[in-house]
Amino acid sequence: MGDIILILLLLGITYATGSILEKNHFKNIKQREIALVKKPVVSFGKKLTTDKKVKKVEFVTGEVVISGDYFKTFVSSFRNFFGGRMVSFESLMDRARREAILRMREKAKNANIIVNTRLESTMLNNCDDTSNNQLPQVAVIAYGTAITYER
Amino acid sequence: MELLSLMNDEENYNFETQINIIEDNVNVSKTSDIKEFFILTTGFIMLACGIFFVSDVAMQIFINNMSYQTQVKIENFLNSNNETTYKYNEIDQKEINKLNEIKKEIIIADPQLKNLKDFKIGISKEEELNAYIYPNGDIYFTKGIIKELKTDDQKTFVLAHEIAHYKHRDHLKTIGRSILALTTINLMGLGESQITTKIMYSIYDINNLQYSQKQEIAADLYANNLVKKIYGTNKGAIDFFKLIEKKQNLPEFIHYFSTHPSPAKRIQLISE
Repeated sequence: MGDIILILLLLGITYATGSILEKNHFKNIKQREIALVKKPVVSFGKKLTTDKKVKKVEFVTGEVVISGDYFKTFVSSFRNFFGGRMVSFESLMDRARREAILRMREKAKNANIIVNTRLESTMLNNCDDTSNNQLPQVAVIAYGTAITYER
Repeated sequence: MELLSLMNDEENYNFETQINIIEDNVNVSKTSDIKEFFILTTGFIMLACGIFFVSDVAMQIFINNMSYQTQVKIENFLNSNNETTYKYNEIDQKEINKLNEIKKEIIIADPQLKNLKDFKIGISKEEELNAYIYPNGDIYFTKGIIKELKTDDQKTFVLAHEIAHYKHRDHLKTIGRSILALTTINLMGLGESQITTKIMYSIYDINNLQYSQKQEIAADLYANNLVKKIYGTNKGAIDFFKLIEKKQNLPEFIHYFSTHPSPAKRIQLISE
């Protein structure tokens, strides 16, 4: 019985903190996306034909490690049993992906375009190990080639 | 490619008109986490209750139809009487003789008990108020309860209550349903140390308490009928519960999380 009360208490607290943090993060991401909308442009294509003179070519990366909170993990553990879309982790992945791209763009702030951008994601915890507590942690890495033109 | 070259040509490209920050995020579902939580938790709890209900019913049918020979075989296998030996003094011996006489009266009142075991009666040295029966039919009264039980009809009630547990095969039912339910839970593959497993076991604990209370009430009713049959009135039963109520003196809500219903509730049930 004590277990259940403790779990409910933790769920309440982590739901509150988790949703506040998520809301703030989304707000922050949106602001930065608007600020960076002009430069640099992100292209996922390979070829770039231009008449302009290239000043600098640079490899840029942006990476982020993100973890779910207690509440999300709790809900997902049930979802894991019944199957279906893991709604509670969708927002987490979205935040991670956008944050990684934003970091990459912020690193190449002076470049005009980032070409050949790729996104990679990897689980940090060992999925095969069932005995340990399985925290849902994911690392998202965005990388590409930043090109700066001569003006 | 056309768009790219257009974008490269910053002078001719009017960004302000083209800015289109997607307000509606298609990658995040509109379902709120809280809704998801309630749906999944309810589903899980219903599933758990279903498992316990099915294992209850299955074991009830199986054990009620079991022959007495099989029951004795299982009991011999389970026998876990590890009562610490304790040397009875004269008063204890007198009490045991008295209880044995009451036992004979009970068996006369309910002839069905004749075919069952010869219930051996003993006294254990604990001070708390309790009486219990082992799977092999040995009944033990604690020193504490012997001191408190003043009249014969109270003793009859307690003894009949313990015998009722044996007659109803409560011990086998409890073990049987645990085996079925726990096997199912483990087969579900929820994984050790997972939160789902913890929740499942918490529901299982609460369910066990409910089941135990049901068994206690059935035993109470049986014992109450016996006391009525022997003494003509159920004063002994009511006296006994009043005694427990006075000794325990616990708030009512605690009894929801106890293996026994509250004395007040038990008085009410046997008065009906």
